Amino acid sequence: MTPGLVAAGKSVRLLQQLWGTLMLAQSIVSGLLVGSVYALIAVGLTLVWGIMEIVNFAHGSYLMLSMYICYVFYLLAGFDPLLSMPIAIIILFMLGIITYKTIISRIMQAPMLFQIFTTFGLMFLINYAMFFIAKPTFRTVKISFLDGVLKVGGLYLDNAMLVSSVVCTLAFIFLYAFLHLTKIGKGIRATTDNPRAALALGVDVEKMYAYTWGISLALVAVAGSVLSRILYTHPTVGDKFGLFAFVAVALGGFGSIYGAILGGLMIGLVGTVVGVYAIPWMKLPAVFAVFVLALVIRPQGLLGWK
Amino acid sequence: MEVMGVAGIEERLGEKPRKWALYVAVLVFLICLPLIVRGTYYRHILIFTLMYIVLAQAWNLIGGYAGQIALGNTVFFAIGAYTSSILLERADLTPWVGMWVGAFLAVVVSLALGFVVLHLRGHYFAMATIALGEIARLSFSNWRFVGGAQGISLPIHSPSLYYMQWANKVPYYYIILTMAVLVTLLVHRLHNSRFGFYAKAVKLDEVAARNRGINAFRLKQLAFALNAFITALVGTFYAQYIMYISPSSILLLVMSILIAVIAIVGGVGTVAGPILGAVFIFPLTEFLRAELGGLAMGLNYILFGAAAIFVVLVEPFGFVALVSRIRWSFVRRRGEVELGGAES
Repeated sequence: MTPGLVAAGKSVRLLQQLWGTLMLAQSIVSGLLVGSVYALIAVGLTLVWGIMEIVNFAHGSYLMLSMYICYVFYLLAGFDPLLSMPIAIIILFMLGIITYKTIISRIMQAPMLFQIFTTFGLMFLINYAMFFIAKPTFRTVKISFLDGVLKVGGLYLDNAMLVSSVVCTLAFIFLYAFLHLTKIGKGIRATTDNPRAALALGVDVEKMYAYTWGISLALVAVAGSVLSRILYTHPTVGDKFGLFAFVAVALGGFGSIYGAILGGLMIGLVGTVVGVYAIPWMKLPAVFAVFVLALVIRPQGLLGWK
Repeated sequence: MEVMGVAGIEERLGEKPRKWALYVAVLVFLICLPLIVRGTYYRHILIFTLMYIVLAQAWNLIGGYAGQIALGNTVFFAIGAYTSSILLERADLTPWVGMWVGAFLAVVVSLALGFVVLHLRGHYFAMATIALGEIARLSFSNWRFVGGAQGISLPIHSPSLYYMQWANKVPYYYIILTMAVLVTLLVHRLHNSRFGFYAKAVKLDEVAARNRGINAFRLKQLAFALNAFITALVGTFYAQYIMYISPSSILLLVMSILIAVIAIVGGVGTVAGPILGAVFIFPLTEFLRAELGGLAMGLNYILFGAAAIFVVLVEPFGFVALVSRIRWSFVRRRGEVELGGAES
């Protein structure tokens, strides 16, 4: 064999290796970007669970609602969802408080079975009401602002995805500041730690529950707004995200905000890496399998305390 | 006290034959029902209502009695439906045998899955079973051996008992009626058995029950396996009746939830609950779907969701509680009159 051929073979192998690492890096980065959106949705879920031990199975439905709000504003005024995000946040915040006051406050003391099925009922109600109103048509928001692909050192980053994860990261920072710096935020944290002690110290616990629901859904509105730039808006679009949020919350530990963020990122990673390296359709089953395994091995979650 | 006790016994002795007479009358009525109900569509509703009675009774064992909120029952339903259908399609085996093979497989799977997930409590168990259902749906959709997303169409034969195929709906009605009666009798037996009492204890407080020497895990496994067994048998029935199965028609989370909601609306942990729930919910949503389907898509599900919330908020213990509350209010009124007489 001539030395030239050997050299060529070597360089091909080197190229392959480089390609391999690039692909791995690419899938990790994409996974983290998607994961940050999952994480934000999961944080909303974990807030409610942490403070009142109720799992909101309608979480994904509210996400779908916020996507439709963005779509409506796009349709009426041509708003970019990033622009209509504040409106979606306000509407969903109010919806959260209304949901708490009308339904959830009545089932706080009910057995778990009834709590689960009330939120399931809510899910059906919202999803199919949306079928009724919006018809099962796939709707898209067409935007040109911050569209396209960004190339950073051999990695391709989808701009829309990048914007989403930046927005989600900002939302985390806002949430952190809110929970630690404002009076309501401190009240929510106190109630999460110990409702009775908080009550004894003069925290209006009822109000904190209502606020938590509002904030939980406001976070969903942020996620919904950025998702409506990427995905089709459809009455059942939220279901998958709702399930993923449970997985993220369970992975990280119920009630733990950092756990939910960690869980969300992990789901994004597992999904993309399995999708790229194994069989594409195994993506979702892999995520759920990780979920069941995590539940069994460590029921309190990675960072859980309950 | 003595006198009251004797009176109670007398009343009971008088009541038992009356109750049995009622049951027999209902049974005779149900047997004669296809003679009255002639329309194919109405017969279809009858069959599906009975099917959901059986499914909800099975769920009631694990969800109502043992208190474990299983939301992945479609897995067992699909195992039953797919096993018998594949055996029929590829090996020409009669579904009468295939259904037992499917049920046996479902029990094996339920024991294996239960070994993992039955250690979980409360919400965790519910969510793990949802995840299992989703894994099954996605896997079946991509598994070529079971027909993938296209599913399986059963081969059409001339009507025969061997293939469990008939041109009209009456034989299917009697098959599912038999199943409903047998399963209801089984649950009734279990209700007043050691299983029923132990299950109640585990549901109320698992730790306390374990301290009393109840093997809670084994009990939950038994309930889960029985639930799987019955659900798989119904799965075969469904496959034979509809003649077409696919992941997008039988492996839906909606169905798992519907089964549970029927039992809950009727009244969990009671024998009559699933029956009342199915009789109320299924025909209502089906009529709405058929009558208003053109007007509004999914109106039946809107109603279904509203009903679930309403029942929980107004009468958390379901129709059974509502019925007994009405009955008790009569009894109490009568009792007050009698007591008033004794005091004076």
